[in-house]
Amino acid sequence: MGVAWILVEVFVNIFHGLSRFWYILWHYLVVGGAFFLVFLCYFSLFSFFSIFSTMAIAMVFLFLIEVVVFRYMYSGELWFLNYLDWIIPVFFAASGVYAAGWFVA
Amino acid sequence: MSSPSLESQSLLPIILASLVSWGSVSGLMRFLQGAPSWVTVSAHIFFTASLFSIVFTGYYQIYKNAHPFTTAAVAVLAYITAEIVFWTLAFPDAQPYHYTYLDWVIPLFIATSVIYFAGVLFRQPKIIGK
Repeated sequence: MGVAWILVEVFVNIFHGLSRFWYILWHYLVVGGAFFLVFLCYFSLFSFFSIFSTMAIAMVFLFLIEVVVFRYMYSGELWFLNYLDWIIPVFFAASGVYAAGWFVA
Repeated sequence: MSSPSLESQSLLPIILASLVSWGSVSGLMRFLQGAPSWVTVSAHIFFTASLFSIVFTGYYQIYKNAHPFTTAAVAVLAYITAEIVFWTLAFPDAQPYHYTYLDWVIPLFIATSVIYFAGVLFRQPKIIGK
């Protein structure tokens, strides 16, 4: 989960200068793709939990990382806490994890 | 564009609104146990969209300055906590739906969307540009 989150943050930091439309489109593709590929590796190597439990645990840690980083380590404007920039990407992240589990199963 | 802030908002009414919506959906879904999965999945999505939109439209009428993102975030945390406390810890054999993508992830996303857009559409003042 941490690897996928870092990949997404790298994208956000490099490509935040794109136009709004292309930024949002690429953000969704990168989030869905990063979580899918990372968890494709995870599900290929490990089978500790069910697909749903893995997705739930990943999302809990995603929220914890977001809270710690953006509450205690980030001092900029929280402009991205809105539907298009946060809620939909989290949905794509959960869907990416779930899709990877289905694909491997 | 206003930034989300917890300081300006009371958490208890959001938690109560979320638990009322979640409890109502769960109660209605109990009546459909044993029904075919396409019925339960459709009904879960329909009940979630309907009840969360009704309850949170009422919430935003009372709390006119509530921020949609903060409200959605707190409401979803209350929703997930209720799921864990009721259907995982307290009554694991009585859970009214399955923990799958269609039966849980999609309804949660719809609940989040409905809470957010009820705020965007019905709160005062309107947030421009969201």
